[in-house]
Amino acid sequence: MTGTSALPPRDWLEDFVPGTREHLGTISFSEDEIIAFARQFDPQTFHIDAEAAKASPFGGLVASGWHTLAKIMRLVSGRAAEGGGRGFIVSPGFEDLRWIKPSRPGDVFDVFTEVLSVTPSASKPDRGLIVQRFEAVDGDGTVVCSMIGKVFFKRRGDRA
Amino acid sequence: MAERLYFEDFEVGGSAVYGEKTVSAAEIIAFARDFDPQPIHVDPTAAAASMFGGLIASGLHSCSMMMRLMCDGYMLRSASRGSPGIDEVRYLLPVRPGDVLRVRMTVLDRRRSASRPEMGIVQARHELLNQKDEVVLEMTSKVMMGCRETAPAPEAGA
Repeated sequence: MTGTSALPPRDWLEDFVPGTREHLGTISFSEDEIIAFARQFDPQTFHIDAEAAKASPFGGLVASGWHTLAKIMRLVSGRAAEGGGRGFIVSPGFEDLRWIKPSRPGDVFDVFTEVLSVTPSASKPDRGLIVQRFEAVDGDGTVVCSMIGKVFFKRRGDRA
Repeated sequence: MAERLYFEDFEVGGSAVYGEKTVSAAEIIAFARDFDPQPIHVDPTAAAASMFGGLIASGLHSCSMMMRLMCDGYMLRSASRGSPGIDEVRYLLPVRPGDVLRVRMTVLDRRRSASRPEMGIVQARHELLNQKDEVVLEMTSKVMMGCRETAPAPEAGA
């Protein structure tokens, strides 16, 4: 897993501009990682037993969808920590999470984020809601996993 | 092991509560170090000074713990063929060290697959409950489930 450190800081609501797309880095999957995560959180046969998984609908070991999402979120979280994030308040959740293709051992995906909308709060003038799309894309350019994330950020106000 | 569950067993309106799982600070920190290393998830001192007043679990950690409760509750003994995705997850309350979590599953809708007669899609709401019976997380999602009537006999031990 590698991140991108050359991205401009995003500390406050105003730093998120709709339409902006960023490459956050890449994620990869090893068999050991896939099995370790799934043993803890999602111990379905096709996530923990490479031999038995061959007879499953997936034809082999695949990562838990939650594991793929967690790896994407690691880059998103890193982007926030390394590239600002001082105005972060909380995430109310996410929607339209699509597991389009499973993640298999050896897979490497690029992770992108795109700001879809930035909406100042009507009731709390110091903050607003940012809606972003997160995507993992394989070497052929096919989106393998995507979701719409939501997060509240404080506005810059008088801050420099 | 209890009887194997197929598409036909998930009746619309049916509801059940499964689990329980006690959350530790060490688990919260370990998950967040791997996947979501924000101070409110990994640094008890910084978290105490935050708006949350203490360490809270990453939202994705809560989702993952709920998945485990779902697996142990019904999914591992079902004909699940995986999920195409999640309609929505709402983080309603923080999950803190010492919380005792359960999951309530309610079937919202179901339909047989038009293209694959051996399976159907079950849409369900899963609510993660804490020890005060508060809903801390709500998820609406779909799972592909094998059908009994066209399913081959279960293998020994399955």
